[in-house]
Amino acid sequence: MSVFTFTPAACVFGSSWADWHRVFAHTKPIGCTDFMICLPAYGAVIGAWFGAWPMPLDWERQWQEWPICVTYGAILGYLVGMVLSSGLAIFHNRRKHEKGD
Amino acid sequence: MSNNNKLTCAKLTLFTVSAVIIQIIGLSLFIVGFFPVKPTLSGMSGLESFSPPGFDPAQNISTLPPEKLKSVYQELSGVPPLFDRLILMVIDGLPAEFVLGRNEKPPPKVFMEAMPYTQSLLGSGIAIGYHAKAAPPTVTMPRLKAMVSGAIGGFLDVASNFNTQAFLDDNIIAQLRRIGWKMVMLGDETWLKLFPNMFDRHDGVSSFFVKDTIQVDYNVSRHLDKELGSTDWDLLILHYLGLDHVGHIGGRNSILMAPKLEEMDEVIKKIHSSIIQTHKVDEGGTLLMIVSDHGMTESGNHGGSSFEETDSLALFASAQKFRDVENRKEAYQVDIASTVALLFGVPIPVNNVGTVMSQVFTFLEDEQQLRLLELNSWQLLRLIQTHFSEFRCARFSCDSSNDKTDGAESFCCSYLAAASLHRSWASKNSSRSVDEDGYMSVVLAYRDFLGTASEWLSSRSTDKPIRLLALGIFAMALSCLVLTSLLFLLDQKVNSKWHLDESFIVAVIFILVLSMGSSSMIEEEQYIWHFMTSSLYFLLLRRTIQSIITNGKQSRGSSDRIYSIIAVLICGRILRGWHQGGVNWTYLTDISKLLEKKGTVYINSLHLLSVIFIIVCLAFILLAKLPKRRFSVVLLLLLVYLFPVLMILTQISTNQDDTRLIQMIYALIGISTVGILVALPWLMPLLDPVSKEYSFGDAVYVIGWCYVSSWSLLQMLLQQPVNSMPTALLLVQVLATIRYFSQGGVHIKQWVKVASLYYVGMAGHFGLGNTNTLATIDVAGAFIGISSHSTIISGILMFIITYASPMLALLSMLMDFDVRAFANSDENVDLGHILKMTLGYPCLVPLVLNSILLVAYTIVLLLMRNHLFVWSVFSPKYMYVCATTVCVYIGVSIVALSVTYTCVVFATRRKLKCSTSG
Repeated sequence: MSVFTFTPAACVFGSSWADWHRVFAHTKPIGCTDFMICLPAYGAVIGAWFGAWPMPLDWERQWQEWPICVTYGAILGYLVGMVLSSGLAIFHNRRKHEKGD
Repeated sequence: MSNNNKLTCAKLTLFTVSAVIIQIIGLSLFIVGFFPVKPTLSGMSGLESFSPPGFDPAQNISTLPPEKLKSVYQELSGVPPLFDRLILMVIDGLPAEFVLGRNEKPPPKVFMEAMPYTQSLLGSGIAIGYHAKAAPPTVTMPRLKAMVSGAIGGFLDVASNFNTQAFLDDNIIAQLRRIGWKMVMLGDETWLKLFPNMFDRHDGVSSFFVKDTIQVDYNVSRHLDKELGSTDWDLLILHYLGLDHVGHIGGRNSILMAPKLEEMDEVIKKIHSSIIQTHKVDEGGTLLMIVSDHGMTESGNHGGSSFEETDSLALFASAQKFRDVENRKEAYQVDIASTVALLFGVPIPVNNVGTVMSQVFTFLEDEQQLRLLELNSWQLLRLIQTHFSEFRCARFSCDSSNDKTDGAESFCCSYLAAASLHRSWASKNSSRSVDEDGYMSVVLAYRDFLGTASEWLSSRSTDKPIRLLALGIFAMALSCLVLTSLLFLLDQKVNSKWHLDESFIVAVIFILVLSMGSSSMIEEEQYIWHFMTSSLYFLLLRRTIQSIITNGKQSRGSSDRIYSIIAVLICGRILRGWHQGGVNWTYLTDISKLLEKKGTVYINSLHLLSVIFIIVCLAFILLAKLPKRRFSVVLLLLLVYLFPVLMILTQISTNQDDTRLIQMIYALIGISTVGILVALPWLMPLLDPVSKEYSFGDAVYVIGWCYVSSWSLLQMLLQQPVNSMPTALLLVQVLATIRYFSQGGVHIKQWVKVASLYYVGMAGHFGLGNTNTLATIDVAGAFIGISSHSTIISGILMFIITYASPMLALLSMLMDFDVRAFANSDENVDLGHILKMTLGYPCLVPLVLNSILLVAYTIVLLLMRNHLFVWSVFSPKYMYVCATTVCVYIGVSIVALSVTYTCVVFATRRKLKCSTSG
């Protein structure tokens, strides 16, 4: 979980407290890099939250144990966040190009 | 503010109260429709079953020894017993169509070839087989009960037996025991649970290991030779589980099915050969009955009401051929009880709704066969009589021109017609004139009565009156809609931004509603509540941190708020770990199990510690809120509570149940609470001397504090000792939540506060060890402090113990009340407006939340009425939902009445003061 949420932000922002505040506390990411940090991090957390749902069901599957279920959810959420942020980045670039032309 | 003037306090109260009344009516209609209370006869049938209804013999049969009783029954019945021993072979999960085919078509070739001996018995007429249709739920225990008692049980029968599984109703096993039969049971241990101490020899097999198809039957068959060789038993029950397990693993067409059927056929051959060998002419032989409790679907499962699942077998085989008879081989599973009773000369069980399978009795004379029908009719007539009060059959005059209306009259006429035909046939018969046609007409008349009576009685148990249920649901949905729209009308600022935690609160309800459709989610509901509440508080924490970062650290009480939320989260986690709860994982360790292992010393010291902890918390929170100058009030309160507290401490440390002491504690707590409620608004100084504000808010706070303290102290007394720390933790959670909300700063809407408290209450309910099954209700605690037996008081105590947490949360709403409306109003105090502003949200939000859950759950229950788990999971949960509704009603009423009273008193005092000073 920490890899998904904190490491990208730590690498990019370092100790710039204002940046941390902007992305995580106020949730107002600016620019592509911010999006790429913000969305997957939130995606991982939300994915992990949803990943906990199959646990009480009595299907007796191996992957329903803790923490496998939740981890799968986190990974899935992270990937979805990545895809979304890449999509947004591409979309943004296209708009910039159009404006430039 | 302008749009609120339309909704005055009076209108609001009127609509709310009427919505609640509609909801109660709807709920009652639904419950009456879904859980029918069918009148039953208590006790066991005895000599009176051999006389017509209305004649009660004077002789008391309980004093007769079994042998004598047997001969008395034989004398009275007039039917000679055809057999003197019974072998009941239950093949679990065998559909009748494997053996008998379906709709005049023979069974599949594979199955016919797998059971050659049985097919030969059927072909040569030595055996007769019936399709005995079973009633849902097609699960072993209810079906066995129906087989032996002839009565179709409902949920209320299950619920009333939730303490013990022993079958206490009248049934053929008990009747046979009474006449001195010795019984041996080999097979499914369900029989041992249903009839403890009735079997002279037994070898119970656990039904738990579904994957085992071989050992489970071998364990039964290994005793077979020995038992068939011995002569000391009269009833031998063999219950084979293997076939059911084969079905569960591989379905109907599993490759293991044919070999298993061959194995069963071998067993049948062995038993039947032994019967033929031991059969002596002119002595009653042994009857072999092969039955199944239910069938199975294509995939091998069972529990519902489809044809494949309800198609059970009832096969009779003996040493002699049955006479050739017509081919009507459809019957009901409940017919087995009356048939067996009449075969062996015991009274038919008193609540039986089945009709006798006549073709088994073809060895008897015509006269005796009519006697069987007569006995069966008398028994059904007696049962029908309990459904209609003031029913005496002799009073009705039946014309043939009467329309066949439903009700007592039509049954009576039908029976009287048969009885009179019987009488005329009997008189003709005694004059030695054979009258074949007359005989058939008597039989048809009896069958007509028996058929309609049996159908009517069965439908009383299984039919769900859809119109009644739909009306109930409609009423409940209507009330829910009314309450929700009232809530929306109350909302002051419609345009403000919705925060994440607010949407989350709404989302929780939707998620809960969706999860109710899954039986696992209902069984493990504690996880859902804990998960949702913790997530909600994490979101609140995030919001607080956000606001601190935005506004800087100067917002007052910011660290207080963070500590409060963290306290709630930590307590929540400990509560989750205290009781494992649920149904599927109860074997995992939890804190309470660890404590119980450690010993009572630890538990008692923890109990004492929790009481002290609670007292400290309560004192702290009182002192923290009220300013120093109110010291006199504080002192008074603490003094008042000192006595009950001391008494509770003594009670707990002596660890003996001193009834007088406990009753004194009840009385003291009750009197102090009511006394403070009534007296405080008058005694409290009207204006705060320093801040010149009305102390209405303080008064409400103190009253809320009183309720919370009394309730917590009561719980300390009533809950199990191992549950005392969780109650303390729950109190900490509630108080921390209150503290968080009351420290200004982040502006949280009032409905969010109320909803959060409600959720904490529900999560805590499961944290105290309650689940959605009836088994976790603490029955022992309901008798604390009662000197004489009283169902009502025990019921109230049980309710207090079970619903400790939700009630605590509801009562604590008083400690964080929005009383600005009182301060802001002018000289002419508009009582209605104040009450609406103050009470609107705290009363409506719990009602709305509960209504949504109630309506959603009722619909789920209706949809799941034929589900496998309807009686074991969904119905108990429904009982809990109803009890929660009652809890919410009571809590909201208490809050509403207390605040109304205080407000009225303060308004009066204010008016008086203004008029005297002005």
